[in-house]
Amino acid sequence: MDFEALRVSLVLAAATSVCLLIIGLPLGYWLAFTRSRMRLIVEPIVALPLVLPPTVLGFCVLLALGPRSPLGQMIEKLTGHSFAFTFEGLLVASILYSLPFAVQPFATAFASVDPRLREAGACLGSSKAGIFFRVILPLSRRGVLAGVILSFAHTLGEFGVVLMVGGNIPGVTRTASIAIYDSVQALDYTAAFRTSAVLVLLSLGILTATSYLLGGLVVSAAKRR
Amino acid sequence: MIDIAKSFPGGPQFRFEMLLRSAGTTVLFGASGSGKTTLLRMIAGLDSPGWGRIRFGDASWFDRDNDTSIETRHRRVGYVTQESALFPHLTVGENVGFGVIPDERPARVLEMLTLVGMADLAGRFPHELSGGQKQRVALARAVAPGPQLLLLDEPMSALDAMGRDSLRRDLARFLRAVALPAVLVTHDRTEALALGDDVVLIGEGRVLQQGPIAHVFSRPASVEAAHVVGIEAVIPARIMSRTAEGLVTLDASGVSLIALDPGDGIDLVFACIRADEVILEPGATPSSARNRLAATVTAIHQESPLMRIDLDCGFPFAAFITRVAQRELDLRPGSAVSAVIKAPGVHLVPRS
Repeated sequence: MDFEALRVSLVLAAATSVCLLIIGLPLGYWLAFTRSRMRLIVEPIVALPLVLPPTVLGFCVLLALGPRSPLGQMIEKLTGHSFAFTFEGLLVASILYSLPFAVQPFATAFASVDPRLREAGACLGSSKAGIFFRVILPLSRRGVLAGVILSFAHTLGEFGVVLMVGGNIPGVTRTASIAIYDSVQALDYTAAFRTSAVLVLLSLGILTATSYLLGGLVVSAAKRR
Repeated sequence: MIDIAKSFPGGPQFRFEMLLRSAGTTVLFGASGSGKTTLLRMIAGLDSPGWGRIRFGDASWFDRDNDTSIETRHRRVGYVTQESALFPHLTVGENVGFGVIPDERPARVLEMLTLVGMADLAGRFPHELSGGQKQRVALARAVAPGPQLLLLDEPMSALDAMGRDSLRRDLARFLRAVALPAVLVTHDRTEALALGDDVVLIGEGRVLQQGPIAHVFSRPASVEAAHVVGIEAVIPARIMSRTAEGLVTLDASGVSLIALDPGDGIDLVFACIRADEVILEPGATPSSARNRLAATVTAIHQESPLMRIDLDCGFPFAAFITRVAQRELDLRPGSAVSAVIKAPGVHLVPRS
């Protein structure tokens, strides 16, 4: 069994979840409450990874981060190296790939908080940030937790994007799902089975724990709040 | 001072112009859908008027001309809605302390909860409270940060009759204790009379009349105002003759009525008769001298604790009587009865 690949997968999933929490909370808040027409553009972009083949997304990220793109050149100038075929590049791709799995449950949860409670907060002198942290976020905790867990689990299982952007470098970008694919290609079914079994048990464990914490399934919890 | 307008695309249009009292309670009185809540939300800054100005004392809260609109949180208003809108994840004490700075929180929460008689329930969560208790906590929460104006949007409408009576008494005491200028939205006459000093009558999206509550309720200035304050019969009439004692004789749909002279040489009027000004006596023996009208009972409704008797004597009107009186008079649809209305009970409103 490839423990190194499993470690990379877990670190990647955890880092992606944390980044999505930081990016997803303000983005989800904006999507839930904005009246701007920009929403009509931003919402489909956020949802795009749900329908796009992971290879297409991976290919786009690879091009965008590559040494020939302006973004890639800027990153190289700032960090001294290219993001293509690195853990950082993989993280960027994973964040984009799991974006809807975090942002949509966040936005749904925020929007379902009774608007009268937000108004009550404003009448009591609270700022928008105060209302968010003292009223909206505590009442959306199930949806936020669901979003974080969904993005963790989704990153753990990603394959196409990792293959395109990561480049299968052992210990750096070779994740568990790639390791399983390699094992099968090499006809090492025992290794493939063991890594798969660990992934299945891990995913099941996460979902069971979440179900216990939220008092229902992850997906339904996201819808409920 | 308020002078604002708002229109909803394809929907109703509102135009409100009024002066609120700097102390005491002003009641916004009108039927559902007349725009009372919209007006209250615009005062609080929760909705934006399309046009106009809102001033509170020396401060401009909204002025379309200067593009001024003070955010709700800077207006310092206490706002209590029909359903209390308590934060469900916070205890009663935490709800009341929400708008208070942390240093003053414990003392202020205790003071406010004591005022509404809920000090021993500070640790409860909103879902553990009755409707009346929730509204008392909402009142305490609204006043705790020290607002300069209290806005109450039908705070009793979600309660049952008993809860309403009890909260009405407590609210009257509470308003006296906190001594804040308050605006109360209601469509309940008892509530308005029990709690209001001034009343602003709202109908069809505009102010119909405003002034001291007893005056406005007994002397509405227009037919619309009469309908809003709940005068049950409004009959088009013409003044036929005047006496030196200040009385007039009316022709109201062929029926002769005596009323007080409205002055100004007005001839065309609406005669407004409140159901509680009408006395019923057995037998139909008309006499024009005392406004004693021969009427027929057309319908009987129970309007607890009274019975409302719909009558016709050439024009439709109504009388409120007790259930005992109904039994004694043996009233049923079709019964003939005498209706007596004292001259001051026929209130005349000019009509053009």
